[in-house]
Amino acid sequence: MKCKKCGAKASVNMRQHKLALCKEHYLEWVPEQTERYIKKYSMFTHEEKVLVAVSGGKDSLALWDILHRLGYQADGLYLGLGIDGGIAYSHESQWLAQKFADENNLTLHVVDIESEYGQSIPVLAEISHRGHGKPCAVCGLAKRHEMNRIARDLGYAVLATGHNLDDEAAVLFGNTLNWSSEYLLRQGPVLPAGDGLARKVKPLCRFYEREMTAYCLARGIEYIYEECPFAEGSQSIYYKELLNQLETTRPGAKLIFYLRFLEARKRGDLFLEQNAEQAHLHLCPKCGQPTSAPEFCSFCRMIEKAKAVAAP
Amino acid sequence: MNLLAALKKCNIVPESVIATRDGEMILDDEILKDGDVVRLVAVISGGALA
Repeated sequence: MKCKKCGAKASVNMRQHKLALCKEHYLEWVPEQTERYIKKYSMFTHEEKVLVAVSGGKDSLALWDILHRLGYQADGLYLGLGIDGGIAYSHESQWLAQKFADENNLTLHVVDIESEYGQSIPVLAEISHRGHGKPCAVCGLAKRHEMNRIARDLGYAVLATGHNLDDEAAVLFGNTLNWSSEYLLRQGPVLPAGDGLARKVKPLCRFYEREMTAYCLARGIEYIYEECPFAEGSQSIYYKELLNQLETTRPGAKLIFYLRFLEARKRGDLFLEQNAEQAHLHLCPKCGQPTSAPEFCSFCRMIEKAKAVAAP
Repeated sequence: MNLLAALKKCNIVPESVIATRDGEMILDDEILKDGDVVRLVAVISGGALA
């Protein structure tokens, strides 16, 4: 297979775009497309400070690298979750995130959940009895809370995450299977800023996960290859596998699934559109972040519970 | 045999991996020879649906 731009041997083939590129042209194409999506969805400008949520995985490091190459003011945020799983998962991922930052002279903010709140994510999950024996729900809750807190406290206009199209398609698939109208109406490349909520953007939302892996390999970005020990058997991975089977026989199926959803949402064609206004948020009396829960937000309630259990 | 045929023979979904040989990415139509060592890089990662 030949590169569509120069005719040299291709390294990456994107069947959904009918586009094969050599390594050199692929590394030009990815930032060009990212810039196009940032502008198309009005994510942020070169004048705004962007905080990139960096996990040490391929997507977030690729995102940080791309934004840096495009000349954006992008700093990183690493959250230490305290996950070991026999492979020193958090330790290793932090080391890789810091290594990337140091090699590229970038600023990485590090927040360690255990130092900040007294317990690691797995222990918080155990104490709070959330998530049916797995810490993923607590992890997601803590990440959302802390990312927003740091963005707010340090004055970042935008919070960028490395969600790729496979992530988005898997979420969409799950929400569609459950007809979760509230979640469906909120899903998109940009979650606008609200009272106390930083704008959240997903600049990689139109790239396949495969393309981000290829980007890291082509750029020589070292990322944590091991999966989070708690992700084994997760629903998101199962949905991704199903969607990849579909993609194998119908190239472009994942992209169409996601893009047609965004188009329908924009046109207001999705069911129960009138309910979008019903979500009511108020500020948590403890941390000041918006929440739909009565009184304290879910995160603060979890921390209070953990403190109560830990107290002698 | 090309890479695509080899992946199918091993029941591996081609979309879920990237293949490299001698450190370079190779595509589905790449002809594999006896003795070639192909490294498969899994592309799927996941966890909480955030």
